[in-house]
Amino acid sequence: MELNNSKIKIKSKNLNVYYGNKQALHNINLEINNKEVTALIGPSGCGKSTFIRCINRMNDTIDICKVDGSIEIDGKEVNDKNVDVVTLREKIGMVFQKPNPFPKSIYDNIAYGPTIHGIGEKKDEMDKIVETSLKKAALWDEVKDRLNEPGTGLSGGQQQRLCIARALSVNPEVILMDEPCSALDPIATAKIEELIDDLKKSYTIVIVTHSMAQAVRVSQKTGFFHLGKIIEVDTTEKIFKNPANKMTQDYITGRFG
Amino acid sequence: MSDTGHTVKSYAEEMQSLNDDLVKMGSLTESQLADAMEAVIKLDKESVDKIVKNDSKINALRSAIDNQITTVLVKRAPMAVDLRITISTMKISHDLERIGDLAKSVAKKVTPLPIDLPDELVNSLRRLGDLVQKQLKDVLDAYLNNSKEKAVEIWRKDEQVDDLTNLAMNEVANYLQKDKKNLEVATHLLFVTKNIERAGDHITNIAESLYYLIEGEYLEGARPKGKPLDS
Amino acid sequence: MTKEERLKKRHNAEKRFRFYGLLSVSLAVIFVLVLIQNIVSKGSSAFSRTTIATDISFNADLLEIEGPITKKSLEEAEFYDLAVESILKIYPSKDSKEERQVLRLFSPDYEYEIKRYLIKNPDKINQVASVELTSSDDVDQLNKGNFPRDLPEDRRRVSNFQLNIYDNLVEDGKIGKKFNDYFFSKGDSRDPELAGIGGSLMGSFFTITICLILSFPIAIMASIYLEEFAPKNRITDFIEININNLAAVPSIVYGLLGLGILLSVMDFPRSTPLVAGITLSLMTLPRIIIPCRASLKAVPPSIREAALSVGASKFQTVFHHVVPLAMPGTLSGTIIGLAQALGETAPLILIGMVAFVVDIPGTPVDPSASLPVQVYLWSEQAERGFVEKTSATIMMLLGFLIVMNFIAVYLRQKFEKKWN
Repeated sequence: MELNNSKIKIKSKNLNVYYGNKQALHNINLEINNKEVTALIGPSGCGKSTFIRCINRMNDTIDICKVDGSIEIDGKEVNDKNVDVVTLREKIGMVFQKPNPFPKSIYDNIAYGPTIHGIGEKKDEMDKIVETSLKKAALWDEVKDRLNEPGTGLSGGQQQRLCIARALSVNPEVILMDEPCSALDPIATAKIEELIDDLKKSYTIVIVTHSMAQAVRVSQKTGFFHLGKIIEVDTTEKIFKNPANKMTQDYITGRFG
Repeated sequence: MSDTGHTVKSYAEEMQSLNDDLVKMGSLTESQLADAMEAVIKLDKESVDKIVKNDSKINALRSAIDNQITTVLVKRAPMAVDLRITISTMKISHDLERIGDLAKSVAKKVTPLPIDLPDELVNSLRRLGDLVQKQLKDVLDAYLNNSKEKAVEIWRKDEQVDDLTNLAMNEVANYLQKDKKNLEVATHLLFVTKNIERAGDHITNIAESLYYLIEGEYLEGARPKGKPLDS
Repeated sequence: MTKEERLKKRHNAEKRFRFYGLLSVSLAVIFVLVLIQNIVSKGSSAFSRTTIATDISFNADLLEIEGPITKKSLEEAEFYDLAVESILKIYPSKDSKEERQVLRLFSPDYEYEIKRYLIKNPDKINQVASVELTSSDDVDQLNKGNFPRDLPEDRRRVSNFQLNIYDNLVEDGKIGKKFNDYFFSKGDSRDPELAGIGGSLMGSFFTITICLILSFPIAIMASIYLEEFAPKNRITDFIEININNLAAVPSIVYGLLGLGILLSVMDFPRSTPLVAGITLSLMTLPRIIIPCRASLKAVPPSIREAALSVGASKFQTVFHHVVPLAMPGTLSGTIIGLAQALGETAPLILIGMVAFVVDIPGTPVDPSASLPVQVYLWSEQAERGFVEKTSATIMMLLGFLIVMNFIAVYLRQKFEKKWN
């Protein structure tokens, strides 16, 4: 890991996103630091999910969605025609709002990603990948005796950690999390937050959250989105103790609307 | 201080009541300090009981504010300006309570004082007391007007308080040198002077808290000091 | 109106609705039960046939076999004389008219039944053996109690003379009842006692198989493409509307299509399961595509996102995750579509499957009948024997449909994966 010049992992420049005639994101300029947690907050429909879905080009799956402007990862343009989304998404894992394990066994859930990318073709290699992924996601001890049971049989929090493990299985550099705890109870949430704290040592994490307290707890940097624009980006401490922008202040103190 | 505009009305109400209680506490402390100074200057031993009794009102208000703040923290998890308001209110209320205590102990010293104190001494005490009272009034006004400029001004003026304290100390020393029998009275007077000076320090604290509340940052730089006279 | 009155009114409305609902459900059940009872009561007797135990003397001379008696020579031998001689012995006849009447107690197939018996038991040559020969339809119906005996003779199909013989046979215990294997193994026939659904069963089997082979892959591929890959634009909208319309097109129109294109233009063989299967698969395609697309649509988008986010390509996402999850719905939709095709009559009539086919088809390009058309054909026949055969065929058809629907339900429940 080169230290100089590598502080910034993801950089968006004048990013605009349109859904049909409606513009969802306006000129987003945002820098996301390497091996740090960046939280994106803002009211519903403000474009924060749209933004993270631009990073791994999940918006490609929506027909009417048009993206212009640039997003660079390690200085390489994501929206370039030559970029293969399959390899891009191998590098950028994603965890969704609702835990969405495949209706397969726990083992197969983890093994799927490596299999399609041709990693771990031998059984013992794959076993190792499954084990390390589950360990990184702090789920190994809970499921090691029932790897062949369906992933959908786990509790909500375990399912979400399984999804995180699945994302980790292909060795990504960046993990995008779209409200990963919104469907979970406080204890499951705490476990995920603890996990995020742990993961940030080796991964760059971007998390969209509606819980301000969560943003404060897990992130080092926070961006506030409103109506498709980025209003303020700063250290999390600054944003939550003393934001520069009135709108940010109003949002985080509950004076909106 | 608390902006209306919280989406949750009861949150705004709680912040408002916090503000109201702090203002009430401020004015009570202000009059306690004034009464105590008056008692010292006029050697009015009658009012001492009243002052001692009133102090419990200030203490009660402080407990009430502490309680409300705990509730707000638990219920609302305040952020940004709300967080700073709650934290600063707590600190300011503690400073005010300390000022109240100091006023009480100043008043208590009046009882053993003789009636024939030298004019220079009384005058120097009055000047110090007036300045501290003005500082307190100013800081409370600054709080009501949400004025960081005034807070800085008050903060800087603490130097004058220190200077006047030193003058008053000198007068007490002169008084003691005149007659060794004055030792006991002079000791009391030293405590009076020192207590007034300490009240001034708490006012400076309040100005700092106020500045943090408004700006979100701490007043930088060393606190202005006269000649060091540590307790 | 007071509050109590309003409340009472609301409760009454609910009670009335429940009553009407219960009433309609019971009516529906009653109709179905009446239908089934009617069919079963008429049709169940078709599963047995009446036999007459007859002593046959296998006189080798009458077989006119030259050389040694082998299986092959037996198969080529004429059994007519031998059969007639033995059969006429069951009752003394005065003249040839009476002889004919005696012979008419048996099904026209008696000489072949005797032949089959001998081929099966070659040691009986030059001996006498009791063979259970199939009776004629008239005796069969008489035995099953479907012909009233108290009618005047000229309105009866069975003459007094025949009735007398029958009664004697009953007394001697020669009249027997056997499971009607002919019904399943034989093709169509003019004689009800010899008519079977074997031909139409094979015809229907070939037809449905061809229909499945053609429509299932095409429907699945079409629905996957339309649902997962096709861009959403006017052309795909147009296609979607047309698929829905095609599903509602009367089946006879597809029959005309089959007649016009497959038979006239492309010159495919008439009355064959091949043409029927192609025609029915045209009809079934939209009916399978619709449930297929519905079950693909029912797969939650979160599964697609999950697969895409670990770097699966669109193709992998669809074929590793979406299609397997949609399979239960797809399969049951297919089976129900095929069940509909199985019961379809009108288009088959148009492409000539109403032809009278005696032989059981061995390949899909042999002329053949099919079960629903067989029902249609037999329902037009006058003989009492065909009435029970018609009902029995309907029972078979219903049985197949019920089995197919059960398979559909079973597949759906067995393989349906729970996702939340």
